[in-house]
Amino acid sequence: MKIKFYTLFLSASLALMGAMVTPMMADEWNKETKLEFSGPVEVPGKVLTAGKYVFKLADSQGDRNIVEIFSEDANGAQKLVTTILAIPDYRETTPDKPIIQFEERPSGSPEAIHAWFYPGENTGWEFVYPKGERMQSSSNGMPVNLAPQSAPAEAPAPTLAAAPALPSEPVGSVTITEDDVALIADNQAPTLMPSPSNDNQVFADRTLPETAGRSGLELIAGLAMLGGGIAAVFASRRACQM
Amino acid sequence: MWLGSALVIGGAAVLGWRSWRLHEASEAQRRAKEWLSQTTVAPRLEPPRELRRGDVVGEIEIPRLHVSVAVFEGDDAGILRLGAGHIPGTALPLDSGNIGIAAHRDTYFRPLRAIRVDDVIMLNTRAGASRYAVTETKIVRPSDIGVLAKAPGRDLTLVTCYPFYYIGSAPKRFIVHARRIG
Repeated sequence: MKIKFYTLFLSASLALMGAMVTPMMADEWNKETKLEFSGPVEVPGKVLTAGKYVFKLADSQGDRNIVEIFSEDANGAQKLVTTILAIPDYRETTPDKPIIQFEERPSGSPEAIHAWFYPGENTGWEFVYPKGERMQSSSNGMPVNLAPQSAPAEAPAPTLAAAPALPSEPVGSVTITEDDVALIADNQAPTLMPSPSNDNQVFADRTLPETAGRSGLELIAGLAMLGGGIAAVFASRRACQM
Repeated sequence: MWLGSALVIGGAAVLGWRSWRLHEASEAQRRAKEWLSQTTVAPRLEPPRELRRGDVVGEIEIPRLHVSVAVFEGDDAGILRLGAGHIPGTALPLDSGNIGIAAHRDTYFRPLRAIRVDDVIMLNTRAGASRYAVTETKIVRPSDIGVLAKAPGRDLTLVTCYPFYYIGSAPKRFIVHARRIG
């Protein structure tokens, strides 16, 4: 009976610990990042209307580059909006806050998310927009392929005045606020910020090319050997004559 | 006596080997430039093609420094022995983005030690020529791959080893950034 009680107590304690730890582990594992957009934002294959969204990695052991985007309503309920197959991206500096980078788009088009970085990690995820398959805009400049209006529409679009101190971050990036919510003003057109080029996975594990040739060394070695050899031959001949 | 003879033969062999390598590189440069000078296609109409290692990408010219070197696809030792190399993964001449080109500091890119801001760099391809103006030079560690990143006003990046006069594997890299001007 006593053993059963201890077992029950132990199980309950472990379950409680698990319940406390799991959310943090889940965030780390799926890189969950909450964002709030004040205007339409483009992601591959979708335009997200203003509102709250949650970016997270799909629960897949095999592929860690599948990004799921959920809309979040006022009650915190999440609804899957789109799933994106991203490619690894790389930053020189490790961000201490989530970072969203944007691509340049023609005026009148929604800003397009280029990459997403989770705090504390140099590697992030780049969203690829295939050439010729970019989102087409209708004649009035509004994207024709809009994300569901319902959930995000409930979230009030934040005003520019409420935006955090963006200038502290690199140009072109939007820092998520302390409560992990990004505010993006409609009239704020972020410029491109440095990010590794198209083939980021190539850069992730490499260095700049080795450009120190050995031609000088070969020349010096060859001349030294030739000179030394000639000197040695003359020296030995002189020794033979003596 | 035999030691002297061995040194003479060895020295001659090393110099002969080096001469052969120079001849090989010179031939590769000549062939590449000849190919580039053939009939060009209309600029920007040819879609970017997949490049394989060793393919001719174009020709870099820096008129003030009298630099003219053919650029091949790849940045390994075998490619850089023949000329300049386009760093895989960076933009291609017809694409937008930052084009990365590397070459040896003791051969083709040695004149870069005298490069200055606003110097003009030409990149000639069969699909047309582009002009760039140097915006910045800097010295970085080999691990600083961020210099190859895309950035506003950074359309071409030249990479070579630093110091320019150094026996052995140079510990740093000399970087030239340029923006496109035409």
